[in-house]
Amino acid sequence: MYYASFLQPWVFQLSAVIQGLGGGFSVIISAQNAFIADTTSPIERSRYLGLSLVMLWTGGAVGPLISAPLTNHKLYALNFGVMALAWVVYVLYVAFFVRETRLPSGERDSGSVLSVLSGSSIGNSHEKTVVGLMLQVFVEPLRVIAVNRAILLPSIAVLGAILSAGAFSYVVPYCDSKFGLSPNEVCCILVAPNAFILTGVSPPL
Amino acid sequence: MSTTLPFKLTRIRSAIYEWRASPQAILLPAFLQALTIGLSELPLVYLFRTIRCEQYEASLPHTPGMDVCRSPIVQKAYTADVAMFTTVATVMGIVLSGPYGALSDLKGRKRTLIIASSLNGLGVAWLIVCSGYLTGTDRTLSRLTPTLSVLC
Repeated sequence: MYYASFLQPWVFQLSAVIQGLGGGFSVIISAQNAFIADTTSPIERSRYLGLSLVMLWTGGAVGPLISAPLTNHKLYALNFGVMALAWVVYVLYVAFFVRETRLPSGERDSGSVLSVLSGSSIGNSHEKTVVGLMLQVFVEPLRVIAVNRAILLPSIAVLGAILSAGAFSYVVPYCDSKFGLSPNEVCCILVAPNAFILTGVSPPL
Repeated sequence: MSTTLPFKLTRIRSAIYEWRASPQAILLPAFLQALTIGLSELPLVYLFRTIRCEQYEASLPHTPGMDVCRSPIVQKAYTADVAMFTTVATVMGIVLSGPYGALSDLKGRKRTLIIASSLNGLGVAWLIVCSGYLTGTDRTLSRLTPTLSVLC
């Protein structure tokens, strides 16, 4: 009877909540890109951001190749174990090998959230309540996008692209229901776009 | 001659020290993070499919040769589970992107990456626990049943 409690889909959704608290993949990619921005000159920045995308597509191509045979044999725990191992290596590598590149400094813009949080804007800090400050932190990305037209228009384009690409998330259930494909066969469909993009993007870099 | 080797070692150490703050240093973590995304696509879908399939099969009388896993009811149920999983993680990521960004700018990139990746890893660890019960192949987890049962 204890086993049955863990075999409900909502129990698995808790994992989504925990991963969501970590910001999913967007926060990590953003921080990685910020790291690259900190450590590169404007001339070489695009190249290294492109290389990080190459890593993204490479991981997206290699991952299904590993998970397909495991999923085919219903070795879900082992598959997630490989994922957990990757995260452990990630945390240890970042914690003990990578050096910090961001040196906190006082912000010139006294109205920005950072200036208030860092205490550099003494005049405005006492006027903001804690709740107001927390709300400002959550909406700060939207404010940055809305204020800068150079960021706003590409952001709208990216939003549209991701909305349309979201349907690709259901390629696995579609292949299973319509064609009766096994995980090994679906793997080829998942790997192909990443491999195609790699062959097209990697040479110019 | 006696100072050559220490000098070389010092040069190597300083080169490694500089490389640790270079843009190349973040490429391995970028690959690992993408690898986890690629590893999660297939098992998550088939895991939800297996759960819903077994639930539906248990509710039906036994019919030899009938593949209930591809019935529309099961398909609808597990695609909804996949949608819910993706939506929850994505929406929370959107909401928390501001605070994480502020944290990254205030306290540094490393702290943000460590916190975010640790939570992602914990989420995967929860999947290991739950999927271990599903397959019934992990006897070590079975011994933890009395302790873990208080969670349900």
